[in-house]
Amino acid sequence: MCSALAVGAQARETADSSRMLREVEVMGIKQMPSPEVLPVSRLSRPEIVRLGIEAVKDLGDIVPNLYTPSYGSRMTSSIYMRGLGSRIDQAVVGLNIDGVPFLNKDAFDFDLPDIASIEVLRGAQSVLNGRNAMAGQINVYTLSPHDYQGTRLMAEYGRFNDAKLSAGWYGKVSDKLSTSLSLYYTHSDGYWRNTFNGSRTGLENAGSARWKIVFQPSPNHTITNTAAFSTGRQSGYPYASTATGRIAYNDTCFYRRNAFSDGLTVAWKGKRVVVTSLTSVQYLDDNMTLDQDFTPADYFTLTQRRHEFTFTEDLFAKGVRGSYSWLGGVFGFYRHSKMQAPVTFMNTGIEQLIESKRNEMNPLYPITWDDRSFLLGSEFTTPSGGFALYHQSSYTLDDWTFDLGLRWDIEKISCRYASDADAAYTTWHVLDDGSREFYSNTPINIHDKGRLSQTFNQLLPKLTVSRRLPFGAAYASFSKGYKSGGFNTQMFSDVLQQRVMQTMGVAMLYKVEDIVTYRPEISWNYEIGIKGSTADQRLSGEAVGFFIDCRDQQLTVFPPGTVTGRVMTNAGRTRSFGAELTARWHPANELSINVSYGYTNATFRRYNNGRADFRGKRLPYAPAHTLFASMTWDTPWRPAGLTTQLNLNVRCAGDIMWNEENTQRQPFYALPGASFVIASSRWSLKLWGENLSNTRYSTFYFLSMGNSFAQRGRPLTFGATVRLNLNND
Amino acid sequence: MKKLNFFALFTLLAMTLASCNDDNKGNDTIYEQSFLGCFATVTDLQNPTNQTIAKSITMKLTTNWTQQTCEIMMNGLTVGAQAYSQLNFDNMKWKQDGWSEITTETPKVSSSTGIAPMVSDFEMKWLDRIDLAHVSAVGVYTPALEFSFIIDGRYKVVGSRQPLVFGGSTTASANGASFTQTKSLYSIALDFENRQASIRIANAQFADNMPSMGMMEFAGIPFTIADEGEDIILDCAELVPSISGTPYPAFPITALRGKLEVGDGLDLSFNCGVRGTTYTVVVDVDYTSYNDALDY
Repeated sequence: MCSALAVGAQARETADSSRMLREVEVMGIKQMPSPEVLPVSRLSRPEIVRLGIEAVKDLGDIVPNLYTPSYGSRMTSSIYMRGLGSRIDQAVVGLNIDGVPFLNKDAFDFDLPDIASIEVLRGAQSVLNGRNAMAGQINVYTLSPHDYQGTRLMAEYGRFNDAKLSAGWYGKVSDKLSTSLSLYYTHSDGYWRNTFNGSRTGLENAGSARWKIVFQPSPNHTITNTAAFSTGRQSGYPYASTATGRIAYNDTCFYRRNAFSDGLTVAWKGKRVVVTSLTSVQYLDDNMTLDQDFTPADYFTLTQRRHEFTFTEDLFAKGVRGSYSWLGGVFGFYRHSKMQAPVTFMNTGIEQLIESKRNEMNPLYPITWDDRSFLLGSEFTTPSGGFALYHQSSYTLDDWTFDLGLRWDIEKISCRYASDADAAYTTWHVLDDGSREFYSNTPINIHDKGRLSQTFNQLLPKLTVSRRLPFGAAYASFSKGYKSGGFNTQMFSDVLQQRVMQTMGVAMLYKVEDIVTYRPEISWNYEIGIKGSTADQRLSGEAVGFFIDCRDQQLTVFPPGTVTGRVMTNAGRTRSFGAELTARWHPANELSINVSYGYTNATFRRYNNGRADFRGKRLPYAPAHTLFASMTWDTPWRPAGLTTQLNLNVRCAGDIMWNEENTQRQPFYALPGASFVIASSRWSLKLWGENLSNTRYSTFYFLSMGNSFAQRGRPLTFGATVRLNLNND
Repeated sequence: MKKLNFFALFTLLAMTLASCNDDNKGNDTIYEQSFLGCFATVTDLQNPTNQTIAKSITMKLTTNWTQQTCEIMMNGLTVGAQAYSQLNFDNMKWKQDGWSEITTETPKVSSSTGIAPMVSDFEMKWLDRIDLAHVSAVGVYTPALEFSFIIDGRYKVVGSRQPLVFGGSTTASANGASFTQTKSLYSIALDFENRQASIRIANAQFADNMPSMGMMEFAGIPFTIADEGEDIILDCAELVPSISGTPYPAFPITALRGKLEVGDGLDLSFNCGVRGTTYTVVVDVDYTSYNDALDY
């Protein structure tokens, strides 16, 4: 309730209020009453508006040691925190929207026009949030019609035809019932062109609608339901060859997604206890189609169509009795995903990847594929379910507070797969005179089916000791986090390709279960921190040091006896240590300066991928440094009673290793940004620019068939945003 | 999982190849099963160079699991000048301890021709299993089998069933490095007309970083019979293997030597050239290890 009031108070302020200089104290729905000492980065509505944050990806670099590179499509929501992260499958950072957990990382990237506040809890949050919160937890809260009533309109236009439109109506139907409806549309031409055909890559049209109802039958009961639907289509993918610097591929690439979610929160507040139920259903329907080789040659394409249904239920209670506070609950989920992922081999792919490999081994009896295109069909059904019990207690004795938490998490995941390939090839015999004669014709008919299943059982403890100090507080914490195991369905096309090669006599020895299954990854986290402020609150800051020992890390290796095959397995062990510093300084009422810096040193302690030993090498894709600095000045220029505000900021990250060998890297880079806002109590106009130096940097790098590709980061963009805020009061 | 597959397949085979007989033996549990494709070497003990091969023997076993007795009907055996279109071995004790075994000094024998030979030193053992590696994903009933006996005190009969399928260790050495694996499975077929053997190797692999060769086949390996039919000696100076039905001259096989012990296993060695490297391969495989390899 306290959090809701805080959000409401904040929401009533104008979008770019010059007075909103410090972070708003918002307490999460599922948090202990006194988590303030732990490392939490909070962003209030004004900061969110000022920095143009509309998606989780926009948080990157602002929060120390949080890196959210924007590349590929909205399906690729890679999040790295404190050196940990993953490109595919399970996330290391959890995401809750109004308390509702989103289990699938592929659905993390969506725009929310009505964000009230965001909090990023850094470090393992597995006791309360379970699986996949081993490095942190992001909680997003949206505006509530119970606390804010009015109409909000927004229109934005920027370079590359970047356009955003949103409209939201928040109103009270009665004293007990309030509702809101917000609509959102965005368009972008994308920043780059595919030089093969001149088409734009990254062209996007997307829209969403959110309908929230808050019913408060009594002061002690609150029922909130939020239904959200989003749809969008992106053309993709802006991957440029590092050899030529050009994006050039011949096959269609796009990502299309329809998503629906409904979250029902029922809360009852007693004298000493608050009981809350969070129920959600989520549906995801998406299609990723891409030119898998990203070259002008017709090697192969991939289409990945998926229908996924998720149900979650989180029932918990929390209370305070004197110096003792507690929170405990049960959590369960069921997820059912059905995916079709056919890979189509085309002429060059057959020639280079199949025929030439085979004929190199046996030049006197070469083969030719009968059809110049064929399909490797794969279909997966992956039901999974989990159950958890968790509890956290906190006891304060004088200046000391002791927090102890434990979670028991059990999860079962299955995978039913069907792989199909139907083709034929002809073998020829090369005669002494160089001519060739027909030798044989061999049909390939592969129809593999199977079922895999795994069960994971985890106990996740957490212990925190904190001490109140005259100027703030200090703490030391120990916790265990875990990232769920599963099935790497992307490996099935490799398996099937090897099965095809096996019919020709040259292939690796595969057992499907060895190739695609991987167990949970766990982390042991140790951290210490201190935070405080001066008596006049003009200067405040926080310093955190952490050490993470990550075991059974899910990594890709080349198993013995392979030519092209890869295996996702628990092969690695890494350690990551670093520090986070944040400072907030108000030298004057009109001036605010925020700085946040993160340093991470994450290296492999054990990782041999079958071809090389990477012990001591830095983990790829996570930056060593993140830095964000922002200065906001309420200028004295007040034409016609309007307020004006200038913000200068810079986002920095790097260096980033792009491969395990640490031979490819993105050096440290800085992206300066600025905005100027002129506002009345009802409207505001913001002129903004990002990456003002037009810094050239990469957000992603990968190898495909020996070719290296990179995606350039967003170039210089600028534009204008108009907001209209018609409060009812 | 493999165990479940095996038992499911074996149950299916039991239903197709065997039947439960509930005749005048009351409630005894009786099974019948057939061994097709058997062969036998018949050696004249008075003149060991005088050897003949019976290539098309079929056997029908009737095992009484209650009484632990067995009857065998053998067709297609020729000994010396005498062709026994059917020999019946009655009321023999058998036991099962992994392998099924029969050992009897003087079994009761009758013949369809009315001329019953005198049989002594009768030994027979068999092991049920399914070949999942060489035939198809479904597998084919491929029991291990060995039998031997002496007829009329003069002719020693030693036989088995084709193909002979083995598993075990394959060690390949090259450039001072050695690589051992147990994934390769061997199936041997003997052409007695031409005295040539062919070896089919499923999952052939000779080095850690070498892809599996799929189904590799060595055909046309000359063989001789030794030790009164107990051993088959393989010897081939050079051959071109085929992989999945296609000759691979780029992988020449040289100096192939081997001894196939009909009732035991196969010791084999050869050199294989792969892309300029010559691997010396030593194979030590047997019937039992085949089952172990497939995790029965």
